[in-house]
Amino acid sequence: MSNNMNNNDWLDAIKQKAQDATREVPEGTWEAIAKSVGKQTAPARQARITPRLWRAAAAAAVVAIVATTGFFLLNNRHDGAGQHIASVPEESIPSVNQDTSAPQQPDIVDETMLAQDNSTQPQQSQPYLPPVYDKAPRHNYKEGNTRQSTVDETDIINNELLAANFNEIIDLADYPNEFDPENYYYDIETMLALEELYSQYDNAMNQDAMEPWKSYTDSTYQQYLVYDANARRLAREKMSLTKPGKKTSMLLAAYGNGLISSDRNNTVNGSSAQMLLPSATPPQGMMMAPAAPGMSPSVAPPVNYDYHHHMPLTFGLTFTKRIVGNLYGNVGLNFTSMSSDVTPDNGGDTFKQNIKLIGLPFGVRWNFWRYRGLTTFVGGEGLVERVVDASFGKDDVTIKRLQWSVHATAGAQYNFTKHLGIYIEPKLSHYITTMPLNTLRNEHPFNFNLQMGLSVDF
Amino acid sequence: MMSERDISRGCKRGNAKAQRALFDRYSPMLMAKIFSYVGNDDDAKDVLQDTFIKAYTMIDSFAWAGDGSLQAWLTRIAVNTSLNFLRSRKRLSTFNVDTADLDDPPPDIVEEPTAAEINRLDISTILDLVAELPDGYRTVFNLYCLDGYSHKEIAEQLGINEKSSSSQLARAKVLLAQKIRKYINEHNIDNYYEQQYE
Repeated sequence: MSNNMNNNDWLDAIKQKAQDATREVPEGTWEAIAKSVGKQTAPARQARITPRLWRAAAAAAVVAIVATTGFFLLNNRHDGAGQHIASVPEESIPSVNQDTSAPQQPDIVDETMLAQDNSTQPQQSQPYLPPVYDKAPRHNYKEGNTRQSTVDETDIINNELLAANFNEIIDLADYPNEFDPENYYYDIETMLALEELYSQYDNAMNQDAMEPWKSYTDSTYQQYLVYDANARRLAREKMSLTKPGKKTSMLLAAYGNGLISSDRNNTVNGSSAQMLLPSATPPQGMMMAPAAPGMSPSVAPPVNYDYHHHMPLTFGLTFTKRIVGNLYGNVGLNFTSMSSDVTPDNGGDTFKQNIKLIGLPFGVRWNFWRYRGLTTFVGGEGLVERVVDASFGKDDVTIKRLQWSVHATAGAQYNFTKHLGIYIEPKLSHYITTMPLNTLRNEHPFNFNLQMGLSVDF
Repeated sequence: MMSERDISRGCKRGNAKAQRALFDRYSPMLMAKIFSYVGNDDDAKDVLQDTFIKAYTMIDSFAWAGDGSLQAWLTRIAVNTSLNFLRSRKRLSTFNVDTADLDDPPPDIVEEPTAAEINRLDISTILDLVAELPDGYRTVFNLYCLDGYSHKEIAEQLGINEKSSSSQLARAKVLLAQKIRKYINEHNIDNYYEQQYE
C-alpha cells in the first residue's frame, strides 16, 4: 500500500457524514412490522373491531348478571315467605329429624281436619285479604306466614316447628286407639282445647297466609304455644319416671324444634331439642301430660352439636373492566360449597351438613405492578350470595336469606392471553349476615381465605 | 414529542404509540446503516423489519443509560441483524473473507480523496459507493471505519483472524478510494465547486 493509504482524513470525513445518514424507508415497512409483532396500527380499522366486540360482550355479561340478581331479589321480595329463612322438611329423617308425619299421616287426615275446622268452628273476624292462597295443605301452612311477623326469626322457626308438632298432636287425638294408652298421656280436655285453638288458627291461615298471622301471633297462636310448651314440659317430667314404650319412637319425627336454629357455640337450642334423637337411640320423653292452667312455657335443656367444618370451596368467573388508569372494576359469579360433619353430643350418629351458594361478587381493584403477563393487585369487594341447596343430614333445608359479605384482597393474576388469565387471591373476609345453619362463616365472621379463579379482561 | 426515555418505557409496556414513535424516529437512520451493510434497498427493508421486531420483543432487556443509549442499542441490533442476514444468504462467510477476496490481485493504487472532496459528496452517494464493495470488504469497512470496531472485535464477530480483517480493510479502502475518485472525475465535482466559488 502506498503512504497515501495512511491518510485517514477522508475516512474520518466519511464516518462523520455517516453518523447523520438517513435513508428513505420504503412504504409498508411499518405495517409489516406491526403485523409481525401483532400490534394494532392506527390506520388499521379492523383492529378496532375486536375491542368493540369485547366491550359488547362485557356489557351483555354485566346486564345478564344484574338481571339475574334482580330476579333473585325481586323474586325473594314477592315470595310469600318473605323473610322465611328455613323450612321443615316434609319427609322424615330418622337420624336426626323427625317429621314422620308424612308417612304416618295420610293426606286424608289433613283434609278431614280442615273440613271439620271449617264446618264446626266459627269464623274469626278477619280483615279483608285478597285470596293469595287457596287452602294450603296443613303441613305447608308455615309457608309464607312469617312475612309480617314481628317476632325474632329464631322464634319464628321454632314456632313453626312447634306448629308442625301440633299437627301430630291433633292427629294423635283423632286416632287415640292407634297408640298404646300406657305410653300416650294425652289429656282429652287439653287435646280438645288445643284442637279448637288450632282449628281457629288453621282456618285463618287457610283464608290468607299473610295478615292473620300477625294477629294470631299475639293471640290465638300464642295461646297455642303456651299450651303446647306446657304440655310437653309436663310430659317430659312425667316420662322421666316412665319407661319408654316401644311405639313412642313413632313420635320422634314430630319434634324438629331447634333443628335450624344455631348459635356461635355450636349449640342448637330448642324447647324440644332433646327429642332429636337418632332412630337407633331409644326415645326418652315423648309423652304429653295435661297442661297446668296458667303455666308458662318452659325451655328444654339444649342439645349440643359438635361441628367439624370442611374447607369451603369456591369456583368463580370474574369479569374485569378498566375504569381509569390501573383501577379496574369487576363483577362475576361464583359457586361455593360448604360441608360440615355434625355430631350430636347425646350419642347420635354423625351426619353431613351441606350448603351450596351462588354468589355475585362486585368490587374494584388497583393493579400496582405488572411484569409481562403477571399482574399484582389490591382491591375491595362486596359479595352477595344465595343458597341454592342446603341439607342437614337427610333433611333438605330452604334458606332464602341473602348472605352479604365484604372482602379485602391482595392477589396476583397471570394472563395466558390478552383477555384470559387465572388469578390467585388471598382475602380477608367479613361476613355481615349469617345463615340459620351453623357454618364456618357463622363461627368466624372474620376469616382469611384463598380464592383462585378464571379472569376475562376487557 | 416523546423523549427517548418515554419511548423506551412505552415500548416496555407494549404501548402501540411508543412503538410507532420508536419506528418513526429511528427507522431512517437504521435504514441507512443497514443499507451500508447489505448493499441494496430490498434486503435493507427486510433487515429493517427484523431489526424492529427484535427490538420490540427484546425491549425488556434494554436498560436506559442516558440520551443516545436507545439509538446505540438499536444500532447494535441492526448491525447484528445485518451480519446474520449476510451469513444466511451465504454472502458473508469465513472462507469468503479469508481466501477468496484475498486471492484477488490487489487493486490499483489511486490517489485518495481528500476530506474536502468527501465533504462535497452527498452521504447517500458515498453509501451507494460503499455498497458496491464486495460483501467481505464492505463488511469490514463498515465495522472498522463507520462503527468503530477494532480488528480484534471484527475477527471475533466474523470468525476470522485479525490479519485477515486488516487486509480486508486495506483492500476495501483502496477500492472505495478508486470508486470515489472515479465518481468525482465523472461528475466533475472539483470543477463544479470551483465554478461555484469563482
